[in-house]
Amino acid sequence: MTNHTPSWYPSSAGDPSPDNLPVVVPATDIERINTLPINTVPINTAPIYTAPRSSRRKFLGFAAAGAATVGAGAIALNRTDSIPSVEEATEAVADALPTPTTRPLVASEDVAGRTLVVVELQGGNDGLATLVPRNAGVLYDRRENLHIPDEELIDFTDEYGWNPGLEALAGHGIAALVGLGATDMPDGSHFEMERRWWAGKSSGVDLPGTGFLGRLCDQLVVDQPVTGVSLGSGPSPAMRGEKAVTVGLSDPEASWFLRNEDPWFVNLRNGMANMALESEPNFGPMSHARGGLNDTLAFAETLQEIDNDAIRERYPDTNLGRSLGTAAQLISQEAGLRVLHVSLGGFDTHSDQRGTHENLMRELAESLDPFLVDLAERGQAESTLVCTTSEFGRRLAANDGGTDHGAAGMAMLAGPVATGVYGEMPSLTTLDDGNLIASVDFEQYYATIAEKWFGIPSSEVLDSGVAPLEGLLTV
Amino acid sequence: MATAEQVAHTLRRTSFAVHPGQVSSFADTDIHDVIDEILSDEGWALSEEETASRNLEDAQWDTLPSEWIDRMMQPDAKLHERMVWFWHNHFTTNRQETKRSLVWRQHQTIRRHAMGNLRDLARAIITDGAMLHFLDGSGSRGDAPNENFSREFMELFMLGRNAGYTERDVRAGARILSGWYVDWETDDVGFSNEDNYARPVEFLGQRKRWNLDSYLDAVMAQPTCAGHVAGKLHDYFVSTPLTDERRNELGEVLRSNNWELRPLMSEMLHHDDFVNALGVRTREPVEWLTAAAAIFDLENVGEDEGFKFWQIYQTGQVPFEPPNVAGWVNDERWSSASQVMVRGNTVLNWQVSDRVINSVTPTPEAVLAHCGIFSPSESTLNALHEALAVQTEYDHGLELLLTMAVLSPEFATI
Repeated sequence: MTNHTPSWYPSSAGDPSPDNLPVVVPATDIERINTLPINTVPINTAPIYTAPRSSRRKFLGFAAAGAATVGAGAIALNRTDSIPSVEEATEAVADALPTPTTRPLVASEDVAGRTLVVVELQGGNDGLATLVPRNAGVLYDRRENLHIPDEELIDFTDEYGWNPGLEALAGHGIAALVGLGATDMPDGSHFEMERRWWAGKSSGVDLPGTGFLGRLCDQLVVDQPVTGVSLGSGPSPAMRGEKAVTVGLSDPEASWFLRNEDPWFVNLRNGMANMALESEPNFGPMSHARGGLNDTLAFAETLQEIDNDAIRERYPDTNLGRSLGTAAQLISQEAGLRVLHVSLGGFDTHSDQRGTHENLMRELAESLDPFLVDLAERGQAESTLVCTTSEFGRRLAANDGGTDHGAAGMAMLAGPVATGVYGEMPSLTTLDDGNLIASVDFEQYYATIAEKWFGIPSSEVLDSGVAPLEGLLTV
Repeated sequence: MATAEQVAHTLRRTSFAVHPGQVSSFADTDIHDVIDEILSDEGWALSEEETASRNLEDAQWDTLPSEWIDRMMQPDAKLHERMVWFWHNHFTTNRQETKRSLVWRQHQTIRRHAMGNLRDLARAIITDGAMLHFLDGSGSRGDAPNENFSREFMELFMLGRNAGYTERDVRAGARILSGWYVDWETDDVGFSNEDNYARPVEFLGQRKRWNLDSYLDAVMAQPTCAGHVAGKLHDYFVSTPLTDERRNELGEVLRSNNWELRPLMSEMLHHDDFVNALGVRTREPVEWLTAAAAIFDLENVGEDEGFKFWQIYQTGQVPFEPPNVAGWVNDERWSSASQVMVRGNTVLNWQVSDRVINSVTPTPEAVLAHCGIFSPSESTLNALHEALAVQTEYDHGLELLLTMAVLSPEFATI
């Protein structure tokens, strides 16, 4: 065990608490991953490097930018079919930016403490293998190698069963939204479709500079330092807002030096705050870097101690498990966080889909199960909505052992939802170039979250101002 | 004659760690002579031992990412090494989805062609064993072709999204490339006539029978190809907005030199766009880590292997483990709050060398110049002065100033 106290750290200041020190021991389970045959190599495995039990550093990730460029996004928010003049655009910017004293546009006591947790399934989750249509001959014919026998499915409705990997969620009331995707010119590219989902613009035309979750945060911000947080792997451009501070939290304990009260560290923090003050040069990267310093100091104030032992006890030791464990604690602190984003990668199952996908389903379910229980014990079950996103579903026909990029997929929702299947299952015989045709646009899904969950009119956060779906939420 | 600021800018863009004394070694040199010297870099040859190691020992595998970063720290890691890193993030492969021996072989392939010829590099990549695994080319058969590689080769690697090809070309390309495989046991890359779709296919407007070379020639004959690759090099090395006109010019340099990379790099680095591009993009973690370690005059980025890997892992930029096939995106997220926290942790575990203690006066101006910051913003300069004025209780003013300087907004940009 190496003690990483700075060697020049002033000894007269007294030892920092042992809990505050970054303590690390060598990796232990790298061997496991490297000796697995390729078919079982866990894609998006959590850290190859396993942090030791004595360490509190367990996260990977970086933040979405706090403040995005004012302008493009705001204009797009109020975009009409004609191109706005400069005056109109300026007005639009002013209109779209909530002022610090403005409450959410539809404010009600009911929505005040509500929180959203988005689980992004990265790579394009196969909807047809997540919620499986029973007895669909076409599905069997086109996907013989991927077939999941009826008797292995987790019971759900007469028409559908869940992937066997989702067993851990069997006791929770889960809602499924099928036929979900971009109804307007879907694209086969991960990156294009990710951008559309993040930005909340299904057509991909005139993508705003902000993300959908960031715009929700802009509407939800009150006088708390941080409104949105991304946990675990991956940046989330979806969290990019204009006014609300959203940060990425790699590891709560990485903030130890921001809480140390020794004069040297106080001086360092003052210095960081002073360096963050605006002065020339103040264009793009410099101003973002100043924002990074500001967000760091703001979040250190918000962030209380996270109990990692409690997380280890009940959550799987995976990136997703640790992220959701942290999310539950952050939510119950009620410190102003309203939108949390976590992700699970590896869904790009071009090959070896049958086992790989089921393992991913299992990883998802075995992290969501303790999370939902945890939330209930903390009294947050009724005020937390959990929902999944994924850039697209996969092609109906298998390429052999896997599936290529498709179009319509599905989403899962947990929390105060009415369990059942929503949306309309796309035809398995009438296809668009081999792909399922979306029946529900993802902007409708987003509108449902905005209006039915947060009481924010969809026109405030989505260009289309599309109507929400009915019946999905029980609140 | 080049100013120290110009030299520092040029070195930090074209190498990784700028070591103490390096900037002043170019005093009284014209900036274009500095750039010519940089362009003459041949990189280092891998030792016989390194080349021969078809099966890396476990220990090497575990530490491969941090070993490479330590190697980037060496004074002989210059432009060639930068280009190895660039191609590593262009023709991406995640080591978790293939074999160690193949990852190492791919690394050597990229190293061999990094400043050579783009066509040679691209051809080697199509039949690279690690790539055949990563993008599922291996096992793709003519009757059930896997589109993964075909799509990304055109979308990300060579042409740009929807730039000169259609979805039908993606599917046709997958047919053409079907049959290439890598043997899991022997690592041998081979071609199976049986699994190849041998019939004529319409691809990029021509219907005929194809092979690897005619496929590659057709892709590289697309008018978008040279500009796409040159543009991506420009984004990384110059990082200023690229006009269509300049993109075409750069593409033409690449094409008219028969895809040789060195003339293109010369054209880009000698151009005013590069010479004046100070602080125009956010420093990526690998750049930040190697640069900061050189400020502290360390030989590598950490002593303890476990801690070293942890800090690299925390940044989200572990070599050989890009987040997806598009690689790491260099944007302002690299200076966000979580990076600041990780960077603070990293620096607070380093010990500044005696050489720095003895040679750098603990004043804001001297410390900032030591960090290659010659025109600090008013707020940063004031912050360092104020911090030093308060720092009377302990004799650690130099460490405080160095810590602040590497956490400054200036050091977060490049």
